[in-house]
Amino acid sequence: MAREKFQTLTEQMFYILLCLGEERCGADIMAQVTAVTHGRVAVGPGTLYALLESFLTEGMIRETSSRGRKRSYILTDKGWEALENEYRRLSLVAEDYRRVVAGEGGNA
Amino acid sequence: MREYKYRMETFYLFDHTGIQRHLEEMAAKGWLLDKLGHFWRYRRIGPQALHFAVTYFPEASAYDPEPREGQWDYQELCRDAGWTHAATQGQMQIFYTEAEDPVPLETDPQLQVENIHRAMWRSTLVSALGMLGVSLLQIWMQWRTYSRDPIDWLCGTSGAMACLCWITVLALNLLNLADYLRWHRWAQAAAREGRFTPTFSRRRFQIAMLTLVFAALLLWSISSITGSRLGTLSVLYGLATVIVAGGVTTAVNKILKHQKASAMTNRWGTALAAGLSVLVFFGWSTAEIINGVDRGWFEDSQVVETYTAYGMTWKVYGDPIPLRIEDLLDTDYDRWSTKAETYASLFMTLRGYNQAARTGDPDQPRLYYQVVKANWPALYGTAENALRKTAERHNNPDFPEFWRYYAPTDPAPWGALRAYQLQEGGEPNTDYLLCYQDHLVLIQFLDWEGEVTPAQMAKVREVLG
Repeated sequence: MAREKFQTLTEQMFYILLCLGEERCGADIMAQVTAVTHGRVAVGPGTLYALLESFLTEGMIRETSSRGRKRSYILTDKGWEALENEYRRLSLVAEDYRRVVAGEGGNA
Repeated sequence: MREYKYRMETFYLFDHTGIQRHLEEMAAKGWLLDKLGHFWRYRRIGPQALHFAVTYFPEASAYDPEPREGQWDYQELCRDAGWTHAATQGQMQIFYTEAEDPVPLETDPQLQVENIHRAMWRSTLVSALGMLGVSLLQIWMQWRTYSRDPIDWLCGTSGAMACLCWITVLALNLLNLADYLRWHRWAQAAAREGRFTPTFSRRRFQIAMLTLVFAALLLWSISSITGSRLGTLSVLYGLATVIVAGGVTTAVNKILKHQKASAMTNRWGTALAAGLSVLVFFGWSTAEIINGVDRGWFEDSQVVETYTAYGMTWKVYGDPIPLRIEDLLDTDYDRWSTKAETYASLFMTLRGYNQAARTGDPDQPRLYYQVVKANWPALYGTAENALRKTAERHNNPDFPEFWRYYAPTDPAPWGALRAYQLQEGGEPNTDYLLCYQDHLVLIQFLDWEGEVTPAQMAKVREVLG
């Protein structure tokens, strides 16, 4: 069940994991996701909380420090693996698109 | 100018869209949600355009002594995103922001739907199913009571009031469940496509139903109080039980929270306190009523004298009754006891009259009669059938030779539309059921010498017809 849940990642899951390649706290994650996507993707605090809890349970991230209520996290090896799997999947999707579109001379 | 106002709000737990819209309207009028509870408390502010967001923390409970660790972290994240915590009750948390175009608290519809579903299962759905079961059982019990004795049920107000209340509880809980399941199905489908689904409210319907129940309770209270002293006491004891049980339950809940007891301890402690206080108070009030009955506190009839016979004390009543034995027979006896009782509701009125000699005074006839009036003409047939069936109630199917039943007899001497005479073991009795235009009379000539004469029938017709 849990493996099914994270076999493909939503945009918000992907960018949260991407931002946790470095140690970051919740507020930084929300700001970084918006910055990296130029405002295209926004993560609400409620969604962020739920996803951080899920990632922690799955062992994809770990808590690194806690200053008062500000908790910081970073990716684990399992989290890197999930991120790279998703990147490969997206790359294949992009490659298929380029092959089909270019192969048909740009016709959709 | 008052600083706070209190309102009873009737939102579904999952109706986050409706709650958000309502709170934004209140803020625009200058009232900011301050505290959640049985009544929501609003604090006066200047009118402001605020955005509200309702979220759910499924692991939380109304019995938690304080917010859980995760809830503090959650609120911290929301603060970082510009959302201020307004209030929390159980699993529901409410935030607001002054930003014009804020990032919503929930940006993943699938996560939102899952979160709401978990919160609903832990709180509302299980209790709604429980209430459905309880209300169906209560309605079935009222149906059984009605089936056994329709006249007794229709002449009292408690049965109809209980039915109305439990039907309302059933309807509201069914609607709650149906509306949630419908929204959940739509929201799941929309979430798979990345879309949020607003919730819908039935506030007007809920308020209408609750107003109806309150009006029925008020009507029952007035009817009981004006009907009899026992009715008055029933209303007062009922009110007192609710107030005492409610007060004890709230106090225990607050004490356990103050003592930082776990949610489980608080839940069971509060339930135990509620159950015990109801049992104790109900037991005490029942004992008081029994004591009162023994002492004659609830006598609505007029006791004119008491006397002793066979080692017991007996009461002599002096209620006025329309038809007396002296109207039907020549008798010198004048130590009669006459008792009258009335049971009335919107549906039906029953007046019962009883005339008897004193215990120990031999060879005197007795007269007992009921006058039943169906206040709704459609219930006349129900009353007639019910009165006819009273004779058959204790018939043993193994001994048909002893059966009792009302057989048709000539109504003309009685001036009635229809008349029935009780048959007992095939032999006619001196009990009659008389059907007049707008009322019925059940009359028993007990210990009567011989048959009821045409002159006596005419007198009954003159007085009771």
